[in-house]
Amino acid sequence: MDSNLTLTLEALASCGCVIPSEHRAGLDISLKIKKMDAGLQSLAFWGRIFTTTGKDYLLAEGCVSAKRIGRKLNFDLKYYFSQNGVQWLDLQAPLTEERYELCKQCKGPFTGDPSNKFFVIPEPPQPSEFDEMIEPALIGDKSGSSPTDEKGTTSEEEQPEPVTEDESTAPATEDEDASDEPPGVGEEAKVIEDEEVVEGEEGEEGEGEEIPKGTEVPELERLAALMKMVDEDCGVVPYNALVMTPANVLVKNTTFSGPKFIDELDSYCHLFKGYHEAPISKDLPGSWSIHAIPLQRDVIVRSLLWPGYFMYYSDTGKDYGSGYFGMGEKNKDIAFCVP
Amino acid sequence: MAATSVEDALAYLKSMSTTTGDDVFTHVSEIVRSVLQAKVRDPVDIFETSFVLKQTRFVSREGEKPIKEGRDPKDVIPVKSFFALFNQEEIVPKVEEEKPKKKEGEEGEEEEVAEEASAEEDEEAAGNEFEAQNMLSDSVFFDACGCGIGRLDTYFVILALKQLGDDPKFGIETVRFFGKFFGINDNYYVFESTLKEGAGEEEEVPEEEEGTEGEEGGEGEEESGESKKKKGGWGRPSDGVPMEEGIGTNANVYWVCHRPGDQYKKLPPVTPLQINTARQLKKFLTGNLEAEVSGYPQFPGIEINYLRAQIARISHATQIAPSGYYSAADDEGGQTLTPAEDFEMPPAVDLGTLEAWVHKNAHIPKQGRCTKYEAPEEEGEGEEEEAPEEEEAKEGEESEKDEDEEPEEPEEEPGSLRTLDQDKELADGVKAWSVTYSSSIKGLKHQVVCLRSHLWPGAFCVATPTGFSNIYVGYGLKNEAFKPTMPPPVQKEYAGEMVEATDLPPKPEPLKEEEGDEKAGSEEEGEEEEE
Repeated sequence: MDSNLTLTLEALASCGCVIPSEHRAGLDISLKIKKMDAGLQSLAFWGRIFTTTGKDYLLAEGCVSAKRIGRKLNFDLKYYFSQNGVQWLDLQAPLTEERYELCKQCKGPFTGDPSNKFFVIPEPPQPSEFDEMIEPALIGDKSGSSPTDEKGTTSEEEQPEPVTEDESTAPATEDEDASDEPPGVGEEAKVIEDEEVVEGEEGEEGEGEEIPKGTEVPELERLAALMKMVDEDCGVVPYNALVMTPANVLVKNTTFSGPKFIDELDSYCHLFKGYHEAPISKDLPGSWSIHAIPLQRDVIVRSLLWPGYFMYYSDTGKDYGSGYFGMGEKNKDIAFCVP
Repeated sequence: MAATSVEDALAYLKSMSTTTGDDVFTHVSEIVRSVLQAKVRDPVDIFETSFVLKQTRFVSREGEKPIKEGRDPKDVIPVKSFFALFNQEEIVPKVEEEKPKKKEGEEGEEEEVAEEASAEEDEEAAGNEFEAQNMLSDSVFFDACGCGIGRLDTYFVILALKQLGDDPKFGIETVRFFGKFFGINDNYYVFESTLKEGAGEEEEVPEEEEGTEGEEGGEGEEESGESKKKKGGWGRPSDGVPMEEGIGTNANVYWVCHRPGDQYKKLPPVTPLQINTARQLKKFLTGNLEAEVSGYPQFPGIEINYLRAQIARISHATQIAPSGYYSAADDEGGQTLTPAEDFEMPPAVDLGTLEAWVHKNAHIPKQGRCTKYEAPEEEGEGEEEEAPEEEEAKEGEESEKDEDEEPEEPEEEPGSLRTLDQDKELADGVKAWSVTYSSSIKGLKHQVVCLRSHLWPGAFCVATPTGFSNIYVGYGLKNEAFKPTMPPPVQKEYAGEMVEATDLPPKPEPLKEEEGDEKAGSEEEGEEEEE
């Protein structure tokens, strides 16, 4: 939620999290202005997305409220972006779950052109050739739900399994069964890669009917979805740094005295996944890197699933902060990357 | 005492305890209040609540307690290297003055080190003349463009550059900061250097043996790394292509440390096979140079070699220079670059295109060497084995055969000084480089141009008034679709027909003769070993 931008940037600079001087100069004031205009409880710098045109996105996240309703923590968040560090514009998060799923399936780097549209094909057919085996690793999330796939799956190649806990695993495990596929499917795959929409044949695939083939996803929608995704998968805050008031509102803990073991993953939690119930140590083993800088007593937590997500906690000032400085793509090959 | 007035008595009751800060007056009133609140039937029975109140009183424990036990033992080494980094001795040794200086911040142990260090200085008072990158100036431009590693870390690096260059035993001619690699458990700071003539070769053998105990750090570790590598050479894959010496992928010597001021470790030269295997892997660095690199295909070395291979790949793919800054000498393949004498930095506007920039290093071809290696004519197996690498003789044979098939296909070999717009596009038709300016305001004077690679996220190059500066900050991973290498196909079943033998098994031979045979056998083996 709220953290000190200067301290965060200072601590994370050694991880390559640097904002161009011009943007940095404008940021403090422009964020304050936006906060006033939007009437927010807090507005914090969130990260920077590297784009292919060089016009990077700076992102900020505002919090309207953080309440506990029932047993769940609910956050009312607003997303903003800026390309010059001065003007902050609103981002509309995907309205429905389906749209959110679509955004998750987008691939390729961001272009830096807000009017750009990504082209997503919701249900990719199975690749049937050796050369296309990278495909599952790339598209990851796409086709977990197709019933025909599930049947064919054997767990011969289990590496892609741990990629995420969500439904991303099915396609990658298909590799070995490629030969079982009817030959026509492979051809289809090629056609669709060329971004030509094949209407008739694809209907046979199964579940794809409700969602129109080849949907367009605006870059800005994907940007908001990205923030949501990284928040869900990362969003790291030290244990006890925030507390619940009797009125079920999550607020900053003013008497926060730091976690007991600063270089343990147990001391850090996913804020947006239930906070205290979701320490990052419960994630997939190997998906986090934690490093305490000697003497300084600063801890840097890095996500290996989202390379570019960094979180710091300083034991001297009991301050913490996080940021995402990356290309906006999940590391789907993490199973191969960890030792 | 009887004559005490009420005021005196009150003052006495209100005097605070020196240990807990309590006084009788407040305490009694608290007891009375708690008894009144409890409203039990026999209040006198709970008058002992006094004790409970005292024990459960809120004591604020704000602020940290002073550390009485002194420095944490695990901090000793970081402290030492921190002081070494910031108190770099001058090259002219002043033995008397140095000692007290060291003592100030250090504990007893450090004295010896200081003594040794100064003794060392006496021996090699000459120091070392070297050229270093102007990191202080460059970092301003990195900052302006939103890359680099921030002010504080940069200054550590600046001092490390001096420390590295000053040391005569490294024999460094030029040194620059290559970049920072994130490992899972630790980071790597990598420095790129060229050595003085003769410094590199001699160092390997004689210096290491002579190495005084005083310099345990660099030398000692290097040695262990070296021996480990030799030990690790057993059972590692190999092919017959020898590595380049002093040119191409091994033109520069790299040094690595976990934190500026720590021991600098020299990275071993990279072999072509290491580069090729690294191309098929996608691994995070662990932060331990001695760690094994798991994965398929098997990596021929440990993490120190993997890091070196990634550095070679990154430096050959992302080190760029403004067009015209370098001119290629007309030797074999134009490998040697010399800075053009009458070069002036063009204005930022002209540098904002990919055509204005060239690659400093040649693309590494499939062979894993920049200069093509042609296997010597096959005259006898024995000769060939000797030539390339002694350790890996046997396996060399096998892979040699595969290799013979390869070179027939002509491979496109982009050389050095090719412009960036000729670079291959990434998968989605995205240019491999993007140009940014330090400001988005049009017409602002003195803008800085920054190029960044999309192929190797984290690789940046900025144009400075006098030249340019490359830096890499990242995980050492390439931005490309990862194709896991498949294991080789399963061998075919034996095609011939399986016929059950009808013959009786051979008759076992008499015992005594067998013993004799065994002896003979073992003797033969012994002879073989001796050969």
